[in-house]
Amino acid sequence: MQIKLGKENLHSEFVKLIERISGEELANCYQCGNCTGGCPVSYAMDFGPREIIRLLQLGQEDVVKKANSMWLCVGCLQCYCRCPKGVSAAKILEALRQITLRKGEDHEAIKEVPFPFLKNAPQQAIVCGFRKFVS
Amino acid sequence: MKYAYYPGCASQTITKEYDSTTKKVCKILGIELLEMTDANCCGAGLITDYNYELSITLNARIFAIAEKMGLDIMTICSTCLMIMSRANKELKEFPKLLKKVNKTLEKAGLHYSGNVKVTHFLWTLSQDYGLDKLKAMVKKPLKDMKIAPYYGCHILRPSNALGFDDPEKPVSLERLIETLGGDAMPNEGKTRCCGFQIVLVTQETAVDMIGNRLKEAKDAGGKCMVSPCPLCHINLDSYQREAEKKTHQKFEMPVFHLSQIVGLALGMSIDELELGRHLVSPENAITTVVGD
Repeated sequence: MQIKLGKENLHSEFVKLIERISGEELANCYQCGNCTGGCPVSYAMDFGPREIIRLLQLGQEDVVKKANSMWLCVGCLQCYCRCPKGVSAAKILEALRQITLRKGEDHEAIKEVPFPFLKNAPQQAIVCGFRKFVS
Repeated sequence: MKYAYYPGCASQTITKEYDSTTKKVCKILGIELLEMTDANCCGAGLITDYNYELSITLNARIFAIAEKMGLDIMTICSTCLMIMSRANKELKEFPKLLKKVNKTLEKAGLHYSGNVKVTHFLWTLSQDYGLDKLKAMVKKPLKDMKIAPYYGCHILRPSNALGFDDPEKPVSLERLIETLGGDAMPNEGKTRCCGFQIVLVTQETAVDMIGNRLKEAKDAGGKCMVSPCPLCHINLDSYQREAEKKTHQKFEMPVFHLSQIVGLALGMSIDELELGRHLVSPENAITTVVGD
């Protein structure tokens, strides 16, 4: 992948916002990859948690926003538990979700979810699903 | 031994049997559970990111009620445990926050001074009640029953707020199974997530994850599983057929609630344990080993 780097990427408002919402300092990550190694969903992500943090360190807002990673994070906190620097990738992905949802950009359209599925799915799954994917 | 009992939402609705069997088991063991009739939802992390202070206040309200009762809280839900432990930790570490929260609680005539402990049924059995005492109560040892322990996430992580068991190599479930006379089958998936959070967004990946957890338990020689979390139970039990279809293999892996395997060893019947409420029938896993 080819990316363009510039001052405006490295110190962008977007990256600052991520740091403020998550309370994590992106520079703390030294890319050991323990997070992605432990992540139970990284195989299905466009970019694993390590790559997401690296892309954010490099200010690649568009790439990160387009990736499915933030929607797939299950919040199991394995990444945080294994990080030698105490960085929580789960919090960073949560911050990404918050930024997107607060703009009113839903990830799931409630109308398009098939009714039989809604009827049979556990109600706890529905509540946490709509919290996570709908603004 | 007395606790303020907080079952959580899942165990009052979809996994009712976890709640009722816990009460029955505790009655036999002599653990007194007092219902917190006026308690509210812990927030389950659903509002933490929307309004942090509100989520902490909601939890503080639960603690204040327990404090009024003069008791520590025992829950059977891993997510409630994690949310409450985290809130409790912050309230204890930041006196300013506690003061602010108390100002809100005052309006409802409540006050939290920061002295309530939050514990899970598994921790209660392992530590406060004690495994030796539990062993003495066993009437029908779970002989030859090959049980794969499954912890899930929120009873272990984040360990700085929970800290009872090792987040990577936990052993409390294994020890409990052995105390009950069963064979614990440690498996590599026991601390990995079941995928509950993403059932809605991508059922395909969630079902994959469920299949993986079931396969790991089966490969380790497990004939059934036990989980301390009602949400993991919902996923592993109710989506098992989907996982079988997707991975083209038969699991036939009944998943027990923690209270059910304890009750089984205490000599409770299948009806008393409400095993009929499970989708994957656990009866075969029991009758083949214990007899009746």
